[in-house]
Amino acid sequence: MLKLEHICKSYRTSAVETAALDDLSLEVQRGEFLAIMGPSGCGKSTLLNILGLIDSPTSGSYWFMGEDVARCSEADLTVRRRAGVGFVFQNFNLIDNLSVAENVEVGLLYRRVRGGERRRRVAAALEMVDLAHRMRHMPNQLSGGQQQRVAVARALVSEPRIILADEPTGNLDSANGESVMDVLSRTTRSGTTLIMVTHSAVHARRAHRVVHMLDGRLVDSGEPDTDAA
Amino acid sequence: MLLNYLAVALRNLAQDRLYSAISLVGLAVGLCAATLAGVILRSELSYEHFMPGYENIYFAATVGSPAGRAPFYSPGAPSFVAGILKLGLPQARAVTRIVAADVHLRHAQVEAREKLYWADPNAFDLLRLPVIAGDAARALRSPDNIVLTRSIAEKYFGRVDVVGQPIRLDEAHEMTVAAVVEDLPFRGTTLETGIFASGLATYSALNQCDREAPVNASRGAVMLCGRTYVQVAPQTGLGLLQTAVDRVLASAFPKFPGMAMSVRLIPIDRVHLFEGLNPGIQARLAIIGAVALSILFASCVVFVNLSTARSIRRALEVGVRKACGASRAELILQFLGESVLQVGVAACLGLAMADFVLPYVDAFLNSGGELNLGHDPGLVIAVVVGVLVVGVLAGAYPAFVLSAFRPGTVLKGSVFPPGGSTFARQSLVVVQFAILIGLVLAASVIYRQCIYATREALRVDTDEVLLIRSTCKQALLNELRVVPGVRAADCSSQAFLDRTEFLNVRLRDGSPLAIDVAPTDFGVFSLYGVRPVAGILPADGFAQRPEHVVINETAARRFGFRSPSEAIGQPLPLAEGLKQLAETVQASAAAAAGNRIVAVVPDFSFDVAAQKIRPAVFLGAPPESYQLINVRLAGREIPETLVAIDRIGAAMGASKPIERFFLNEYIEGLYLTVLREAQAFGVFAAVALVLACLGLLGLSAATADTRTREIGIRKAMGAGTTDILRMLVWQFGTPILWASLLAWPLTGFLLLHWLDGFADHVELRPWPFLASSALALVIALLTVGAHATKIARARPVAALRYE
Repeated sequence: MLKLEHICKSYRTSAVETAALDDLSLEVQRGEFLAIMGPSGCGKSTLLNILGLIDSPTSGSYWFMGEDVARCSEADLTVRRRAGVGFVFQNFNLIDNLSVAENVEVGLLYRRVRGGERRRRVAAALEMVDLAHRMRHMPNQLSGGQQQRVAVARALVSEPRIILADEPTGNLDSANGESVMDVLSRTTRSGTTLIMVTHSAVHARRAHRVVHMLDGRLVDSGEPDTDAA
Repeated sequence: MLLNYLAVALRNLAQDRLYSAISLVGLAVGLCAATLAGVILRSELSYEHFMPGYENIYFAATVGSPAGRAPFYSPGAPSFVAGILKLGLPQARAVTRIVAADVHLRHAQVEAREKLYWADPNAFDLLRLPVIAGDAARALRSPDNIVLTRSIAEKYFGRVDVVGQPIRLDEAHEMTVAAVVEDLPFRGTTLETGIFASGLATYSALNQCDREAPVNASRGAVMLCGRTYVQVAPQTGLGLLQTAVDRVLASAFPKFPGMAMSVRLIPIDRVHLFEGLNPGIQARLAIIGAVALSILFASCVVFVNLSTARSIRRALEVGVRKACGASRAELILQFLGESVLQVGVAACLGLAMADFVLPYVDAFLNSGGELNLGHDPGLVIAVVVGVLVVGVLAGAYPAFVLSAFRPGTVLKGSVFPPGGSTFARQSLVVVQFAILIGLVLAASVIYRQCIYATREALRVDTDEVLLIRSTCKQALLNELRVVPGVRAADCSSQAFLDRTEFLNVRLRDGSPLAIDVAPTDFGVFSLYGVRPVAGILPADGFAQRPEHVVINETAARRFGFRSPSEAIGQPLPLAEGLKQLAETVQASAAAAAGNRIVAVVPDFSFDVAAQKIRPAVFLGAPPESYQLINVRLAGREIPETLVAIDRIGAAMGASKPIERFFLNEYIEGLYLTVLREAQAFGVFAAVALVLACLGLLGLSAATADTRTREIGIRKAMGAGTTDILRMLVWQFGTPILWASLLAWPLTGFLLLHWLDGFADHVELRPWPFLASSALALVIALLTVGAHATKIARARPVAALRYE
């Protein structure tokens, strides 16, 4: 479903060029739960952003559902993103001035879903994360765990084919983290591909496959280590 | 989708109340100023537009061009002009004349003095006033007919259907109301009254004009006969028309030495904007427009600056929306929509402010601006277009720049190269303060010129001088001189005060010269503290020595005397004009022939700043010809002295209270326009100051927000409150220096140009420039200082926990 071939990504300022990804190749199957692990600064988030079409590689090919999108314009990426990608960020990234329901609804607005259908799907998504009773609350009225569950609902509401989660439990305590992981894991049962960046080996155990990165390269790929604490 | 955008927009406004208030109020002030200026300018440009066919009507003004003087324009034309134009101007379809007169009207018990126009029978063919009753086109064809306005009809008859009713004129003539027209618009016409009477009446002022000789050759003058209007065919070009008029009237005016006369045609809707008839009007209107635009620009600067500064916080939202599938176009639409919404709210507030302030502005400027959105589709369109334009421009940065960022970049947090957007904002602050410095500088220089023109430039002592309009009777003078609070009293002509009488003469060398003629008692000179630079002012009056003449220094120079002393004892060196000079003061030809210059006085005038000093001849005249009594008061118990003077007038049998005024009031009246300009600039400067402070306050708060973490780190590293304060305050000190460098040359150039319009003016010195910049700096420091102190005093941990 997703295939990266010899992907490189570098960031250039006036004085310095930093290689975030260095000749990385990776394949992800439909319905797969892939965990990406590695030390800070190894390029995990950069890889995730490229996979999720919110960033473009400097070189290499990225086959997204059969199309090479590595050189697509931002407008083309938007169309493909809209068609089937959902995001969950470490910092939740809820819009402060929108209520819980309105935050979840944002993605549906850009997909031209009509009002009645939108309300039904928002309610269902919030029900899935057990926050239907907080529909009218504002983000600053929720705990961190609740905010992340709203973010998960926002990602799920548009029924994406791929969900990208960048350290979704990074800012949560263990109980909330488990709760969020439960929701995310359930999505793969319906065929949704889930790619998650994480530092937590415990959460990585839920994945079908774990890849390890170091200095912008893949150094290891295999089934999760079941002995990890 | 739109509801979502609207919810975000309104909640953003509510969340940042300080910024929202500053942005909206600042923009509302600018929109208010722009609306007021637009309404007033439109009013000034729409004179006579209530008359159908005004586009083809021209007003004939007479132009006099004396040698060595600027041409002067008169709002009238000699009686022969209408006839010549009617017969000789091919483009003229019709010509009509109206002559103003003050008359007494009476119907039943209602009577009053009214102003009316005696008009040619075809007047309403050109001046098509809206008719309520009767047939205006035929109304003036009968000699005893009169046309009233609605309010006059209601005043005398209590109703408007009064066609055929009688009304008595000057207690001598029975007039018949032939038509009633609508009241004239307030300040929308140069017509002073809507009451018209038929000029066919033998007792009319128009008929009198036709009977009198239009040319007074002995005085070198042409008598003007009211206003002349010419109707031409549509699409007639003014240039060709004027050329034709010049040709037709080329030999109509008599040839006076040193004086050329002609007629200038002016479109009737531009008469009051014509500089020759209304000096300074175009500059005043241009200033109103320019300053209003400056204020609007400054308020837009505040709005744009705050929008872009606050838009940084929206970057994350942009990234999230893009990650959720928003296209760039949708984000552009969102941000532009928010901006237009905010500008719309500010526009509503600005219109409300304009509606409230307009009556006061109209009173101050004596204008007739109206604001009535319900009946003014043009204004509605202008407001809507203005809101869209300003909204799009103001929202352009967040809309087009923010929306272009890649979501990956934005979500990383590395959004803006700090230098780029900061430079733009600083530049806008520089421009804003440059406008403020320019306005403060202009206000101070204009005010200084006003004070100078009404005091120092006069070179005479004008304090505590009372002027009484009265014929000069010896008995009255004697009574005035013994009033305890009166130090001196002497008579003069009106021309001594306003120098409006002049004579075209020819000197012995053949050169023409226009000289001011000012008949006066010579005692007036010492009353004003004017000491001669040569000779002695005679004690004898006109009756004893009618040949005595006093001249000023400029006259001595222009007459060819090498020094003022050389002129003493000499006759006026005139080859032509002596006879006319004598006639001016009713002196005999013998006295004129034997004239002697007895003294030369310094140059002085009561309107010296606006007009160059001209050669002037002061000579005695019969006391009964003087119209002014100049009274020098002792300076104590002035109210009691005035009461005593009023009593003298009553005791002398005057039928109405004597008309008196202080000389200072008269002089200030000459400079009322300049004084108004100074006041207007002061108000504009105050508004610009408020906007500059608002903008600076908002920027200071925005900057402090974005630097909160940095401040916390600096404090954790050992920085004290003073160090932080200095860092924050200095950031806003440098734009003032740049603003000064921008404002000084431009404002200095404009002020020099304005001051050149005065014959005598203040010097443009460096200290007003430095003072205005210093004031701007102090204001900036005070504005940001309080807020910066609060930030600088905060505990470091609060700042470090900020994110």
